[in-house]
Amino acid sequence: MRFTEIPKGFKTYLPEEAERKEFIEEKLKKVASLWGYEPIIPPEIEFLKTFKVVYNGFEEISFKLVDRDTGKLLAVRPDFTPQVARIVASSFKDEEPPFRFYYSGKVFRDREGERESCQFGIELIGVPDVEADAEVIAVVANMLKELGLKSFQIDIGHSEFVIGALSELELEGEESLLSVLKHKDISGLDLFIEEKGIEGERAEKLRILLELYGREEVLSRAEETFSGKKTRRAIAELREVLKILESYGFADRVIFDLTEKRELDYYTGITYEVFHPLYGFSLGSGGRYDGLPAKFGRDVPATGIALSIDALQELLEKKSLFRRMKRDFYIVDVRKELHRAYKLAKELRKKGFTAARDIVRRDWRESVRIAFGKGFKVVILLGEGEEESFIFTSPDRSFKVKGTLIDEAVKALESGV
Amino acid sequence: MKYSGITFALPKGRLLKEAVDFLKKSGIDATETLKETRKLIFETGNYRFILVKPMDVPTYVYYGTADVGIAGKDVIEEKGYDLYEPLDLKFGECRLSVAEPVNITEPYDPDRLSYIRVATKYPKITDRYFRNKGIHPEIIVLYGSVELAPLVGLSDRIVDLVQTGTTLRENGLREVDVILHSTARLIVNRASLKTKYRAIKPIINKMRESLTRKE
Repeated sequence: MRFTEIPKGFKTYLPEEAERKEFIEEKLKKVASLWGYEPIIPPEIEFLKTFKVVYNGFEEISFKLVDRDTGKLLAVRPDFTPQVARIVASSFKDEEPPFRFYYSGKVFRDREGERESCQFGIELIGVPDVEADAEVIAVVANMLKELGLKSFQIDIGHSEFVIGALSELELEGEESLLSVLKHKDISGLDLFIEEKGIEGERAEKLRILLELYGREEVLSRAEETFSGKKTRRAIAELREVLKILESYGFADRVIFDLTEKRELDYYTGITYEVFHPLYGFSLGSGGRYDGLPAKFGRDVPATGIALSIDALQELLEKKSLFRRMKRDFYIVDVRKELHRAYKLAKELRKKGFTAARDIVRRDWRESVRIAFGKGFKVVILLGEGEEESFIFTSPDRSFKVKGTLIDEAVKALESGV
Repeated sequence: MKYSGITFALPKGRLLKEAVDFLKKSGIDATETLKETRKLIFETGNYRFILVKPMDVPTYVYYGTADVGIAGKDVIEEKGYDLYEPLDLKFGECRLSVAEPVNITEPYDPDRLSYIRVATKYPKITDRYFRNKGIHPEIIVLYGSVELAPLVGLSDRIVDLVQTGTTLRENGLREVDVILHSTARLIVNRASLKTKYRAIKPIINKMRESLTRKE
């Protein structure tokens, strides 16, 4: 094994990529803050129990360690939401809702493929009304717009709808049926209907279930087909959310998918998933998880969403929405002293430009060449004479500075851009 | 690559002709892909077709480089990707089966086997199948001509696709267990179904119609 090898499923982000991730994170933070969300930073590692209490499947997929102190199993966070629920229960006992938090960091899942991923999420806690679900969607829509994405789509579902519909058809708990619905497998459904001998209206309704995907008409169709209390309540909530989103101006971004079942089963109400036509995977998902904080001792409703910064980065790259790294000035001093360069760099930075000094001992011609190789736009060469200086706009194009160095340098940069 | 229409991933080899015929019945013309050229990408009107190895169809669809694909259930199960699988297209019927030499000393009896050494192109399905039966499998992965393995002593048995059984018979092998019945399926990328719903849903409907028309 070479010493430069890193484990499978992990990545190192070099400056260009790292900058892009930071760019995305800053935009998301900006929007979240504007909407009143505040940062929280949970620990990377917690007791495995904390995550298990929320969803049993976390035991299998998390990286586990043993706590030296207590001998208990620890897990590296596979998901932020359980942590947020815990924090709300323990650290905000005496405060009144609503709570609005955002978080940014990595989640770790020990399985095939990528084992760590960068997430940015928001959680809105303490509001049981549909207004909260609509707000989360609105914030996400604003975040995507802020990143320059226009054709995104938000898929909205309701975790109670399928449960209600299946119980109405007296088919709850049918594992194979859940799998069929998850894969939108029409043929599989036909097979299921045949095998179980389902007939007439019941079969008809089951088939309609798989078609409940689209715009508002889907809600009407669902209402006509299913009449149980659970399904009616789910549809009512979805109608309400649509109305609110219409008033926000986002209704055209919304598609309803009533049979999408989320992998994490702690959702209790409206769920959402974000897509873009140019990207093959979802950009993020979330939903209402009312029962969760109660597991940690505080019964408050909650909803939220986590976006994948990795996915957003890939999508933005596809759309060429990133500008090249900002490398403005590189300063080389022929005399190899550094105080002239230091003063000049300070002035340039005050004006908002990036300025790096050449502090490697080598021939100035080498330094100039290398600077352009690294992508700097302008190289300033400080000459033998105290006030002598040259400006390079490319390795073989330069001129001697006659006026004020800073003014000439900025002019050279701005005319080149 | 910017392409605003719908991209199909089609399987090279035994399924291609039937896939193209089926598409034709559903109003989609992919006949150009049958021409004997080295080309792998074809564009006609609103659709683009890419020709890939059968085992790779789910991969191209999973990553979204193809919106939809036609692949055998055997390959879909083996890759195990999270995809939508709306339709059983009913052609390309075959079985993924366990086969052994006709003159094997201890014939296959899953109730009494505790260990099996088997060569196959389908390691995941094979491993899962035998583990579920409480049999410990040693899997040797081969990429082709799997029927050769037991003949030269590489493994006792094989797990391979069987259609008529001719290949097995010609090599002195016989089918002893069926793991999976496979037919060609339509698979769809999750994000594509959601974001290109207006283009894809009619395709699925047309295919559904042509399936019921056949019967």
